Amino acid sequence: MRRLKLLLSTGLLFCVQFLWAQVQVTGRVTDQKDGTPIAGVTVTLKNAQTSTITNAEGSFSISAPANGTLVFSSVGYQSAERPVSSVMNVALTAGETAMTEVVVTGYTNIQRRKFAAAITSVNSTEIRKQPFGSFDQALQGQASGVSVVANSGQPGANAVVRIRGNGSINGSNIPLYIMDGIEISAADFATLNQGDFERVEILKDAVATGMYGSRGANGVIVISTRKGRSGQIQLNYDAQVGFSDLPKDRLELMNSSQKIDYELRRGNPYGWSTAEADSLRNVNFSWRDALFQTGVTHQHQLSASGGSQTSRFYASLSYMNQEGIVKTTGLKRYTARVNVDNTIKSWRFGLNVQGGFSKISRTAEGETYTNQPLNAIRWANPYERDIDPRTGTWQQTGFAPTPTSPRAGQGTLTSGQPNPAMELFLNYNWTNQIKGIATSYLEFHFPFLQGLYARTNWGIDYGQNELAEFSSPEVSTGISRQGALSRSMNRTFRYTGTTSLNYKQNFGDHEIEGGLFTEVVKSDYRTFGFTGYGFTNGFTNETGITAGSATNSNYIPVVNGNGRQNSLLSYFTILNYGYSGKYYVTLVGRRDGSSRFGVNRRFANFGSVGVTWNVLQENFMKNATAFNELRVRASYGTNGNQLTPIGDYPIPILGRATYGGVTGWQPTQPGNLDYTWETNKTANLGLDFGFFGRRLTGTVDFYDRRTTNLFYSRPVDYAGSGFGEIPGNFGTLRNRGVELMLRGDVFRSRDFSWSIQGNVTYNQNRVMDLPEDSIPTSTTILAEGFPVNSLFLVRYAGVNPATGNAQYYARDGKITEVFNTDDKIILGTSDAPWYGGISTTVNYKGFDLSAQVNFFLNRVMYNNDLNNVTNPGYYWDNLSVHLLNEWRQPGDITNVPRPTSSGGNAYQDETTRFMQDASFWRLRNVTLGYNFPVSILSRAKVRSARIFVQGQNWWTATKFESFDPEMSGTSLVGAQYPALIQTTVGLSIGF
Amino acid sequence: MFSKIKRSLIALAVFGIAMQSCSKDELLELRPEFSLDALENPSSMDQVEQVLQGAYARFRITALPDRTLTSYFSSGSGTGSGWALMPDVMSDNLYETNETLANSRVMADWLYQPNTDQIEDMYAAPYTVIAAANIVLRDVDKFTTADNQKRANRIKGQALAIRAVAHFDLFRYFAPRYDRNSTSDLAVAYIKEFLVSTSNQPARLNNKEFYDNLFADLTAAQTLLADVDAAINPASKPSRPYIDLAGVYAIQARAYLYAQQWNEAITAATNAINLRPLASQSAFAGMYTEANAGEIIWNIQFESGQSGPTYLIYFPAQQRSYFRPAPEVADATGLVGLIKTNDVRYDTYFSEVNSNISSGLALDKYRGKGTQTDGAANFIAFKTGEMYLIRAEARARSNQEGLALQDLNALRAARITGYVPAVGLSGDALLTAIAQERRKELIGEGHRFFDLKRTTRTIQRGSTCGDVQVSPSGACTLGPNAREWALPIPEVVIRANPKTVQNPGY
Repeated sequence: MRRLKLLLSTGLLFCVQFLWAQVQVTGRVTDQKDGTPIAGVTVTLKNAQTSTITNAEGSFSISAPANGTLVFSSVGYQSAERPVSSVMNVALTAGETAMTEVVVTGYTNIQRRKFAAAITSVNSTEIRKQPFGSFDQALQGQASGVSVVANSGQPGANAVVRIRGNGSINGSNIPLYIMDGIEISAADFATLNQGDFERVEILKDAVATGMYGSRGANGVIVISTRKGRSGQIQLNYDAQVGFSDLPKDRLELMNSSQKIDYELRRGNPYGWSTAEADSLRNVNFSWRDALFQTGVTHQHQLSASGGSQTSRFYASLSYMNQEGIVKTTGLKRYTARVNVDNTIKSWRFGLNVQGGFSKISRTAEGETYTNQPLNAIRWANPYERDIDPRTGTWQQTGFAPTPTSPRAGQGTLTSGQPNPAMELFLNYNWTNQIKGIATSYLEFHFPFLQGLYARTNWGIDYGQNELAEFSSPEVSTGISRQGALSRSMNRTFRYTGTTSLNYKQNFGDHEIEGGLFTEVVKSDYRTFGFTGYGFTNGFTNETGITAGSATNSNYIPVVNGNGRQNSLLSYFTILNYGYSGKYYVTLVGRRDGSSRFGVNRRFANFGSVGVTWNVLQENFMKNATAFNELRVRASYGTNGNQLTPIGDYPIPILGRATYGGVTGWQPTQPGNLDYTWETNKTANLGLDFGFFGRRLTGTVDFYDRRTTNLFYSRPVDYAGSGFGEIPGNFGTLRNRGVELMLRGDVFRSRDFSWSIQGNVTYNQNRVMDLPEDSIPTSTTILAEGFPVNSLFLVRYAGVNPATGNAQYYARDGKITEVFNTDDKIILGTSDAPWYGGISTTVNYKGFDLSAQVNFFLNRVMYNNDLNNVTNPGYYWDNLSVHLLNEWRQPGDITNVPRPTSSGGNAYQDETTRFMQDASFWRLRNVTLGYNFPVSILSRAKVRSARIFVQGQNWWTATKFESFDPEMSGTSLVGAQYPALIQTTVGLSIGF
Repeated sequence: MFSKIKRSLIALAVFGIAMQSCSKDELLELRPEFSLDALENPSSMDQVEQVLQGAYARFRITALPDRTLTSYFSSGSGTGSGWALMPDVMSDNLYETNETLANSRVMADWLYQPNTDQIEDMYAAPYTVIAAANIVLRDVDKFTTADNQKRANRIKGQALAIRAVAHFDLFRYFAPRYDRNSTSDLAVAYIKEFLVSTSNQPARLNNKEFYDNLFADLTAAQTLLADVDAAINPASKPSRPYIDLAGVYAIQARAYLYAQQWNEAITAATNAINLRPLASQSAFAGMYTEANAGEIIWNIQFESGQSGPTYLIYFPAQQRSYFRPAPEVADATGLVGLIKTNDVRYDTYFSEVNSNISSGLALDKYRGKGTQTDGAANFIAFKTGEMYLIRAEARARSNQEGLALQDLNALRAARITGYVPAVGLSGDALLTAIAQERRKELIGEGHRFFDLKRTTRTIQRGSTCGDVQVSPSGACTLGPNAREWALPIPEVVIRANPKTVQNPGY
């Protein structure tokens, strides 16, 4: 700190010295995205020692020769060069030049050029601007090697994030999330405000993730929240308003007249009279319109930043209200944050605190129950309605009362299919989430030895969910016990404490940087809840519950509770050595002890090494002027995965059981006292380059990630112990691939610039070794030499025109009418081996236009949603239009077999008839923005102002028959809540 | 300089405290707070008895690490109910209706393969019961003293009976044949030890060895349960959720019938009948709604919120019938089928329930207790009516036709209003009458498939089969040589246990 001041005053001194011979330049530096002024930008006269720094308003003043060039640089922004003129207003683009760029690993901050790791820094403005309830959705297409798939469009739903493929077959593949140095739950993102994010770094290779030892195997996502900037207090207001819509439905169903005709052809099962049939043909009720809506999104954030040289703060308040596209669903979120950093003599300390509350209303998804509204809109016949126009109340045409059950048929339509509107509007399902994250650090710089300091960082991550799920006594599932209300609370409290002794010093050509660390992480989970019945007094909350007794035992409430703990104790070191700016070596060693593993295997060691060679520093490259950057990186090392499939206790366990009102015990876990980590060995070779004045920059990484000691439960005969499998560590899995990121400035001038950037990843996932090879599970298989999520089906060979029977390919390729599971073959994987994103940005004066297209290619999925509307046995409910082409008589050439099963034509679902290409291209984001010029703003006493309009998922290209192909897993099971199509208008003002 | 050092020392102290604030044991030696550590438990007679409760609970439901089994006497949504309703679904007693979502078509139409999920669950469920019983039998002696000997008898006797009945249930499905002394037919492995290990690979016994083990356990249970400290089933309750001495006799009677040991079957049935006489007509109906214990020998207890056996075939609240009773057994008129309206079983077992797409009788005897329709009805595993039929059949097959007819008439008189005793039945006519009465008495109680398997080995489904307006099922006959009489050993078990032999034909 003291040295910096000295440098500053030296700079001013030079200014004074050259004053008499120069042009006086004044101007203002702003953020290219939102027009906010940037304080602390170093403004340097090129090829000279003159420089100054912008003040809190982003303004500067400097003397420079009229033909000179000024260089504007600041941490977090790409440097810009501009010819001297008397008034210079410069907009800097976020993101850094590789030369000075610093990466944050959570434990260390280190210059990228000195560090061999494969780390991608995601542009935080991209994450901040996209109106997702869960920030991880905004990571899609932003970084190579990172696959981000939204499984659900429910507001606040998490994405499925995979870094360099699935490394675990049975354990979790969820990355580790670190915020301001502490571990946070990879679940509660709905209650985090991404507007507070300063940086997001994704750690991919061994030398980066190895720092996290037994938690690093699935990659690490490091989030740093915004820090205060010293200077006058700056206020910012950001708002977005917009709407979301349902994507195009590619799974086409029959309309009323088609369905009635189909029923009549199948023998008129309901016995419609001609008059009834004619009248029903004209109904054409749209279940989609009845249940879906255009959702409105509001988002507001007020933030302030300021402080002195010794004390800085950042504070924010935010509000988000996102309505879902399914009626009744949505997210409301409120957050507040204060970050404070202080420096007193040799001490530095700070505190980051965020509190958040959100209310998420949702509807059931991802299952095949008939009462889930999102299934019911597919299955309910189009000639039925939500409201019966004859009575003005819910349509319940399934009603057929009998003396023993007067309420039979309640809540259902003619076919027995529950009325989806009743299931959606009479039931409710919400979660109130409280999220608190607080971290504090204390740092002491030893005055007697320059570069030596100690640091301790402690933080808590607290997440609490209050849940309610209500089934109305009027709906099909609520009838039996007169409604049901399940209420529960759960909370997770986790603390992370890291203490370290660090040293950083240069000795001539030698640079040394390193630290000794110790860390504890402990997590404690508790839950309890109850379910009450007997909603007879009209209330739908707890007051409606009738407390049962022996006389009405059906209303006796159910109570429950549970809890668990786990923790980690670690010792580790991170050492970095550099020679002459050319060569850098990083060593990471870590010893972890985890409560989650067998007593015999509590501790494990992890280590990694990385080497960097800055080629341009070599003498022989002195003349290679086309290059601005050329760096070769290599790393190798180990890390582990402790997210086991068997929970927190690997010992044999007796769990509670009840029988006849008496409590007992039953063996619920076989346990394994030798249970241990999955171990990853990852090799990485990377190349960073920049050409032609950095107009073309890029990074290529090759990696080979091998996971051994997979969590794998060895199957055993149930006869031995009642268990079908015993947990253990067996097998090997490999992910290897190539990642490429390129950025090119196609055109650069004062008023106009155009850049294109893109990333593409190829990841090859292979099972290398299993204790038992080729284990099929209905539509998938786990087989050596193939990816984890491989589909395994019998090939469908169309219809025999003579008989109308479905035909299949036998294993040897011959066509047969006999379906045999032995004819299944391995067909493809649902985890796209090719994925990435391409984006482009055009700037003209104050305007900017950007677009991003993401793609996931070469993937297939099983379409169970299609299966359920193609099965002719379900002809009581609505069906796919494909069935209109059903085989009817000999000679018909069609792809749809006859509906009857006699004569060996039983309906078969485990065939390629329901496997579809799930590759897709999608226009992820389009943004058009305008930054108001300072000249207008200064009159309005406004520091900066930006307006923009953006769209999410406006266009998607796919062959997959569903609302949306963006899903993870091998099968679209059912009840899909598709990703939203959003359009928002935004405003950002700084005072 | 001094103050600098002092400051550094303070700093070191602060960081030192930060590093040492948690002890290693506090962090790493965590124990579950919401379950019992099975390394050191059960650690008392009370806990042993609680594990016995756990064994009973598993007849209902078993929580395994990867899934929950509802395949023994409880049901899932259109699945499960393996020993309650599945043998009726797999026979000619029930037919699949157009209201079905086809969740158990693979079972009903005998399409099962070694990789069928329901087969794996049906194989697993009884062995999970056996595992809990074996923990009891492993540990009960450790805590037995002279003072609690009778209590130990009570616990141990039940555990042995549970172990026997669960093995016998496996045997009924997975053994190709029931011959008592065959050393070539494969039964199932008889497990007497709880051992968690990948090297634990039990082999299937032959029928003779299997029966020997089964009857040894039952004999031991009989001895122990004759000398206990307290009544196993409380007399005051309209339910008998535990296996007592009468229960052991009933299991013996059924097993001896399968083994064709007629004299032993007659003795065991008589012992059971003596302890539990036939119920009156009014008491009989109450047995299914937990209003009266009647002639229940042993029932699986279900409480509110616990899914009883019904959901394989009938959803009582929604009144949706995936399967309905074959009209040959009973129909909506009550005049045509085997069970007519003058029979207490007609109203107890069935109700007419129509929907827009299927009509007729529903087998709704498991709709719930009292007037409830929550499906939490008890399942009667053994009742005296079956004992009469076992004794009648054993007598008829061992030259005691007069006594056999007497048993048949006694049972019919108890069920049918104004019953006139049959006279002069003998030979095949008598056996047919007994078989028909079994079908009437035990429909929906898990017998038909096994009864056909041990007698005619032919299933011929009735009038509903093949009529697509009534039933989507297309499989109408199962011949005597079909492999499907024995369920396949699950593929995962064959893979995991090289000593297990697959059933013929799979």
